Amino acid sequence: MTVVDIARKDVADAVRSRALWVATAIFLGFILLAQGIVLAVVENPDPELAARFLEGPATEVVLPILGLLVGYQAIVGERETGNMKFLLGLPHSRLDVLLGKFVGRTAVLSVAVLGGFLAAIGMIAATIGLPPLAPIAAYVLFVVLSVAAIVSIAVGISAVAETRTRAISVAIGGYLLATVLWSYVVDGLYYAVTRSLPGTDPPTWLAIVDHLNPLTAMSTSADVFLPEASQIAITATEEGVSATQTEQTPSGTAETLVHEPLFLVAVLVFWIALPLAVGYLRFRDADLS
Amino acid sequence: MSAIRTNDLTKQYGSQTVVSKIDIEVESGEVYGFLGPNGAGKSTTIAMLLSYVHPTDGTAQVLGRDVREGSAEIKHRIGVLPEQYQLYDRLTGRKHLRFAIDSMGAGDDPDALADRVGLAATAVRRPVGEYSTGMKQRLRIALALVNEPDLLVLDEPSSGLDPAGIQLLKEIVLEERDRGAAVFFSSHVLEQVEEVSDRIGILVDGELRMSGDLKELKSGIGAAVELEVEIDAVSQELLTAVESLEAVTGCTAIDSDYGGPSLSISLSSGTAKAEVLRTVEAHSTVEDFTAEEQSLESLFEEGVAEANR
Repeated sequence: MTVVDIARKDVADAVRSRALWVATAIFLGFILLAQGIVLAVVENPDPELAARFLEGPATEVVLPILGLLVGYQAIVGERETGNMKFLLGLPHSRLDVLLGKFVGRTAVLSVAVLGGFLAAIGMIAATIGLPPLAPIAAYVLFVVLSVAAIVSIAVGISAVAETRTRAISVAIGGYLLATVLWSYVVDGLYYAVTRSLPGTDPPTWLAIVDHLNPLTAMSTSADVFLPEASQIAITATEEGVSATQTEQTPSGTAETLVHEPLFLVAVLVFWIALPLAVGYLRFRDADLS
Repeated sequence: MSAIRTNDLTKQYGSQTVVSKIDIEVESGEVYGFLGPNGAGKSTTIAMLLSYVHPTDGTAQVLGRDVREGSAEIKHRIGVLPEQYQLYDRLTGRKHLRFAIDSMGAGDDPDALADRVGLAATAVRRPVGEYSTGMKQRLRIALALVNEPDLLVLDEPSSGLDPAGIQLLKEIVLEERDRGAAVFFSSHVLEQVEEVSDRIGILVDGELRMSGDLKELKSGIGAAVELEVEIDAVSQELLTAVESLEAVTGCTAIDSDYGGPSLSISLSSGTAKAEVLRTVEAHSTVEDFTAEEQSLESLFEEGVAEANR
């Protein structure tokens, strides 16, 4: 199994180069920081509320960056150093190398993510009690699927790019598009079609367009699986800022297609398959000189 | 079945032709020395044989299979040392060998391979990042020997090696040949190829200028000849007639300060001398002539000089 050979070697490299530990430390740091703030700021938080905050900057902002960093050099880096000629001089096909790198790097980042979640759950359990584990497990599964999608995009970029510099530029561009610019893209499309801006309750088709972004799909999986967050009332007084939970649930969360787990799975699987396919077709025909 | 057989193999990058219509055939149990100055297209040719680079025209077969298909499977039976590739600095020499052996599905002993290329047992357990240039090259050679390949493709294998290492490399090449393997190796240094090759090919500017049995080439049989013929007058008919001869690869008229004009004629084979002289006689009067057989060295040096211009 040559894909497995490549993947195993890739994981071993990540362990040796400490990339695995750095990725784990960064993700762990952010997820624990977010939890720490929730536990410290909210008065008498319950475990369900804390569980809701497993989704946060660690998954929304840090995870995509880690995924792109872990993956963007996968192919182009080995091309630039000439290591690729060593791998392809052995009985590995270009497809084996591409898939092996994808599997290896997805495994590395998944370990980092699982480590982070386990630590955060442990922190909640130790301070305020055991959070609901089944919904969290379902959510974590979606995060791992998203990890695979992000790594696939990064590895796909690295298979198409001719140089590392070009790969990192495209990766940064993609990150900005998916995080900062995406809402403008979606709103712009809505405006182009309807000549008006979407209101508070956008139509289903627009929500579907919005969810073509794998990061939106990941974030919606949190809405679907994690316990509904009660409202948090933040009050600023002379003594400082304090936050309390109220029993009110937020309004305007209509269940549509985009809240179907199967739909979310389809989006993420699409983002796993497409970059690998495009990357392979380009890499297959590339001259390695 | 030939170990390597190419037919009009060509590689163009845009409008630039890097390798032009080369035909090479290498049989099992022989060493083929692939000579040429740096930048002649040797590495590109090798890259096409190993399907790192896709040919723009022509075909290449390695161990009877077209390089365009099934390249991964073929590599079970080939040992390769591509042009100056980087090793993994954090991995030990032994881990490299282990990975290659596992990838090949081979049963080799990594320590025995290391020993064969003169890497000490302590050295092979150190990360490659701590290796000297020569040690790295020895490891690359060991990696090419994994799984007793039917064909060894070595691109500039002597680069970075000290004299002792070069001697060891020659011994290994001959051992592998005697085992029945074909060895295809490139170099820009004639002496390194001369000592071990059964046949050689000289590549200049992407064209195979000369190829054949090394002993025959050295003894001058079938070797190229440079003919200088002093005549009374040069005419267009004369030039056309000479150039139309099959053995003639080049013909230029030279005006000389003393005596009459002369022709400088390049022949691909010395046996055609008389025929050429008769043709010149038919259109002019021959005053004098000299014939100089081109040695391997002079041909190679000419090629190098040409490439450096």
